[in-house]
Amino acid sequence: MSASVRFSPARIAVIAELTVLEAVRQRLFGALLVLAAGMIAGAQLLREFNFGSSELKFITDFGFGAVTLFGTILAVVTAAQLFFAEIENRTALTLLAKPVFRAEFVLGKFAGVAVVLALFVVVTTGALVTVLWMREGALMEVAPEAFERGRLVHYGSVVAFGALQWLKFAAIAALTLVVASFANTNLYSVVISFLIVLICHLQYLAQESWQKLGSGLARGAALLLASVFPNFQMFSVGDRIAAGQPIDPAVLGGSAAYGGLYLAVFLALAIHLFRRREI
Amino acid sequence: MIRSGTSSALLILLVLLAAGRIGARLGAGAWEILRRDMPVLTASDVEVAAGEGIMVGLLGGFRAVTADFVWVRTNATWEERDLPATQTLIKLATTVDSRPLVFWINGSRMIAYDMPVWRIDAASAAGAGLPAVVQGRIVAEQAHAAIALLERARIHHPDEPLLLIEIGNIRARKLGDLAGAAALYREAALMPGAPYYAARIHAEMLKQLGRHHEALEWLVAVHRDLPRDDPMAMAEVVLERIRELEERFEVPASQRYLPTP
Repeated sequence: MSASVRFSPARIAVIAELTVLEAVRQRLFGALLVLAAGMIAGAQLLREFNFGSSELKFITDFGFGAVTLFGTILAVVTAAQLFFAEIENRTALTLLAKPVFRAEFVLGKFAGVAVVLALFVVVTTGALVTVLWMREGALMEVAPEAFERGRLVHYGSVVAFGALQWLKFAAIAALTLVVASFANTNLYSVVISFLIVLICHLQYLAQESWQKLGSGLARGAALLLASVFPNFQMFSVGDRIAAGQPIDPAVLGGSAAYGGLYLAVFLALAIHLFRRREI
Repeated sequence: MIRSGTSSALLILLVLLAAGRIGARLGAGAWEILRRDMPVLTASDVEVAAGEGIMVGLLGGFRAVTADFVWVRTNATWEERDLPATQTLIKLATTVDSRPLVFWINGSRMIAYDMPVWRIDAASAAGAGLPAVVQGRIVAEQAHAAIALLERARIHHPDEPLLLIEIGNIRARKLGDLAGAAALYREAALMPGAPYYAARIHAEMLKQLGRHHEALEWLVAVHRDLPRDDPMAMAEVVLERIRELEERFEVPASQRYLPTP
C-alpha cells in the first residue's frame, strides 16, 4: 500500500459496521441471546431446586452463569465465523486490494464483534436486573422485615459485573482472532480457542501448584502455563455479588486493567500474525 | 519460511511472558481478594469435576446450580450406599459451593452416622460378624472424617455455631468424648445467633461428666439472659433443671437462685 495512505479510524468503523450487520443477521447471535435471556428469566422456575442459598442469591448466581457461558460461546464462535467468512468468500482479498491496512481489517473485525458482545451483555444483564428487581419487589411485599435496610441486591455491582464480562468476552474474541490469523479453517480456530479459554480458566491452578510439583519437567510445564496464559478467573467477580456484597472497587479496577492489557496484547498479536498471512 | 515461523512463535512467546509479568502485577491486589471468595479447587478436584461432567458449568459460572446438581447426585449415591462416590461427591459439592451449610452438615452426618453402618454391613455380609473392636475402629474413623469435613466448613463459616454443635454431637455420640463435646457446646452457646439448646446441652454434658456444680453455675448464668417470652428459649425448663440441681446440693431456700420476671 502507498505510504501516503494513512491509518484511518473511519475505515475501521466501516468494517466494524459491516461486521455488526453480518453478525446480527446470523442466527447464532439471536439464538444465544434468546437462550441466555430466557434462562435468566426462567431462573425463578428453578427455585425449588435450590438447597442452600437464598432465592435472590440463587437467581443472581444463575443469571451470572448464563451471561458468562453464552457470552464466551458467542465471543469465540462469532469472532472466528466472521473472520473466516471474509477469507472463504474472498471478500477479504477484494477489501485488502483497496487502500485498507491489514491492521485496520483486524481492528474493524474486532470492533464489530465487540459491539455485538456489548449488545449481548446489555440485553442479558438488563434481563437479569429486571428479574431480580421484580422478584425482590415481590419478596419485599411478602416479608418486609427482611428488607428493613432497603433492597439487598447491589444493582450497581450487577451492572459492573456485566461491564467486566464484556471486557473478558472482548479479550476472548481478540484471542480467537489471534488463532484465526494463522489457522486455515473456522472449525480449527473455534476448537483451539475454546481449549485456550479452558486453560485460561484453570491457569490459576498452575500458578498455585507449580512450586509444589515434584518433577522438574512438570514444574517447568506448570510454570510455563502460568506465565504464558492469562488468568480468566480474574473476571469471576460474581460470587461476592451473589453473596449480597458490593463489588470491591480495587477488584473492579484491577480486573479491568488486567483485561485491558490482554485485550491490547491479543489484538497486537492478531495484527502481527495477519500481516504475515498469505490470503 | 520455517525461520520466519520460528521467530514469529518466539516473539509471541516473549510478548505473552512479558504480558504475564505485567498482568500479574496489575491484577495482584484484585486476585488476592477474588481468590478468597473462590472455591478452593485443587488439581484433584478438577479431575473429579471433569469426571462428573460438571467442568463446563463450573467454569461457566453456574456455581450454585452446579453444586445443587452434585448434591442431588450425592443423595442418589447415598441411597445406593455407594460409599466412595458419596464421599467424593460430598467433597465436590462443598468445594464447588462452600456457602450452603446444608452440604456441610448433612454431608458430615452421612459420613459419621451412615457410612460406618454401610462398612460394617458390607464386611459382615462377606463372612462372620465383625469383632466389636474393629467395628469401633470403623466408627471412629468415620467420625474423624466427618469432623475433618466440619473443620473445613469452619474455615468458610468461622462464626457459625451450628458447625460447632455438629462437631460436638459427633464427639459425644460416636467418639464418647463428652468433655470435648461439652467444650464445643459451650463455645457454640457463647457465639452470637446460637440456638438456645446449645446452652442446655452443655449443662447436660457437664452433668453426665459429674461436674454438677459447674452445670448449676452455667444454668443460672444462662437463665439470667434468657428471654421469658420466647418459647424456643424454654426458660421454664432451664429453671426446672436449676431447681433439680439445687435440691441435689440441698441449697437452703434463702440461697437459691431468684429469677427476675
